[in-house]
Amino acid sequence: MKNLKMKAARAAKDFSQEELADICNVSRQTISAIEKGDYNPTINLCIAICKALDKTLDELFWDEEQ
Amino acid sequence: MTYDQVFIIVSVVLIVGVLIAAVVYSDKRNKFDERQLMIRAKAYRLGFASLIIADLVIMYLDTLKGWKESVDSSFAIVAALAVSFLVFSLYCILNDAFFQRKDNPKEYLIFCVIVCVCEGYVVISHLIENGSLYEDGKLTMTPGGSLLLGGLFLIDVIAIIIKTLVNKARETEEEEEE
Repeated sequence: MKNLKMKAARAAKDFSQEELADICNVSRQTISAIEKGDYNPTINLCIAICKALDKTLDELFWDEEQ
Repeated sequence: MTYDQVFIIVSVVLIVGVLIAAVVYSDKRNKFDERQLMIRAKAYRLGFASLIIADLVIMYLDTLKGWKESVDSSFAIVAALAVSFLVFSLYCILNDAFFQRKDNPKEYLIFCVIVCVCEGYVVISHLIENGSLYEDGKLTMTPGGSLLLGGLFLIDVIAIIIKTLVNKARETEEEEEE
């Protein structure tokens, strides 16, 4: 399932995938895979992404429909 | 000096040189990320399984009439290793887990092209000298191994170029979506 919340938060911060990847110390393809829903990140990476985008884990990774 | 000796010396010099360069110039902060490590773990397993299968195939071929007379056993071992490395590298390349985050693929591509040219030179000079890849009716390491390694690196180069082009197209697509 696509992570549109993360994509929107990144766009709001005006970060490219490459910039977010640099901050989180991962490759651009990993950020792309998370946004596409092809890869489930570990909690450590989730926290790093949340810190970079100034969001909470709930805001980015909690799916209310489930 | 025979072709075998030249091949071994060039291989050892290349491997030692690359290892030294990798240690000296490596960026300690440049690491594979968690997704890449997962992919590489799977690639190792696939590579190992391919090696076992390739060895079993070679063991079976060894029992066939005429195989031992036409193929050198050292070439067969290198062929099995080449299959295993090819599976590992292609799986990593196609899943963006071959290069670390700050690695420059161009450097690896240049290295691959140099290897292809060296191995190609060995194969072509052998062909010119003997008229075929066989030596005394046997496929040996000298032209056979060079052909394998050259082919292996050539496939890697093609896979990296294709993957880079696909990634660039996807990146542009994603930027346009935003």
